[in-house]
Amino acid sequence: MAYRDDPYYIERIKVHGDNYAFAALVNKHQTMVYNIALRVTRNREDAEEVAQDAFVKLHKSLSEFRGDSKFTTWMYKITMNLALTRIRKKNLFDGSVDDDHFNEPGLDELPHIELKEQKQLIKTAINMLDETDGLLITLFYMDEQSIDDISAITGLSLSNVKVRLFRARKKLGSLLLQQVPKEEIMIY
Amino acid sequence: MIPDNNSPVSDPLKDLLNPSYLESPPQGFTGRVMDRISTTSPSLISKPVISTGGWVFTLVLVVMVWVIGTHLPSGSQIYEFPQLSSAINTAKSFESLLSGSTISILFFITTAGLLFLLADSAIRKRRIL
Repeated sequence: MAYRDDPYYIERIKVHGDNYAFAALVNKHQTMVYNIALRVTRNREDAEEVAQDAFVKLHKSLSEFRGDSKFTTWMYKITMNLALTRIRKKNLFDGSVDDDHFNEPGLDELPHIELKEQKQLIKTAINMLDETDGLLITLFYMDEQSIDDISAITGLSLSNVKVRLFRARKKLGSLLLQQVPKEEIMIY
Repeated sequence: MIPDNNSPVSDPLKDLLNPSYLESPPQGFTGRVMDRISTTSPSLISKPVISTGGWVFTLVLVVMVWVIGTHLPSGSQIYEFPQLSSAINTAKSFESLLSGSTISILFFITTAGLLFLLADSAIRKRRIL
């Protein structure tokens, strides 16, 4: 489905209270918001809860959005903060974070995965990165966010984002190269 | 170190990684969000009391009443539109029931009411923008 630019929906929601416009906005951004929550919480149930909370919060505070930053930057920041709050609370009560997100094949199982399942392999490799690295890779490569925006979303400094992204990229590359012959996945 | 989005340096991961690697949220996600919004959060905005169309209608109505009340003498005949003549004369006969001062007071109250609505509308609009 082709979506319009965010300001169109935002204006309709602000001026006309148009819930259809908000539903369109949710549809448009749900995947990315869910994946940001997933990278941080590393648990699908928590990720859905966080993503829902993020959209509800967004709806409540949309009138405060002045457009000083990109809408997605603001939205992802809300998502990330909610996800961090959730895992902090969980750590407080459970002492650990659920890891069911990683019930997918581990690295030791990767040799058994056929190359036609390259997509699954890459997904698995991304899931093996730590929260921040996975988040940076997701934002930079899959949502094409700029370094500046990633810095605003994560609260990391520009140089820190660059360094961490560089390391995450290297780590992901080596995870993939460990498992797949170079000629199959041309990463380097 | 990291090629930025505008960098001409090719980044093989950019070709390899794309949004298809993102996980989709569970089915019915949008519906659940909308359900929560409709049940838990108050309406996002307070709509202005009178919309733009409403103001145009009110303005036309006020001007029409003013024209009928001040410019048309009783018993006017508009031969091309007999129904209009009849309506105007009915309005005039109501007007004649009231004294001049009563009409002034009514006009003042109506104007004050409209100004109040206009101010309320403007304040609400400012609050939501």
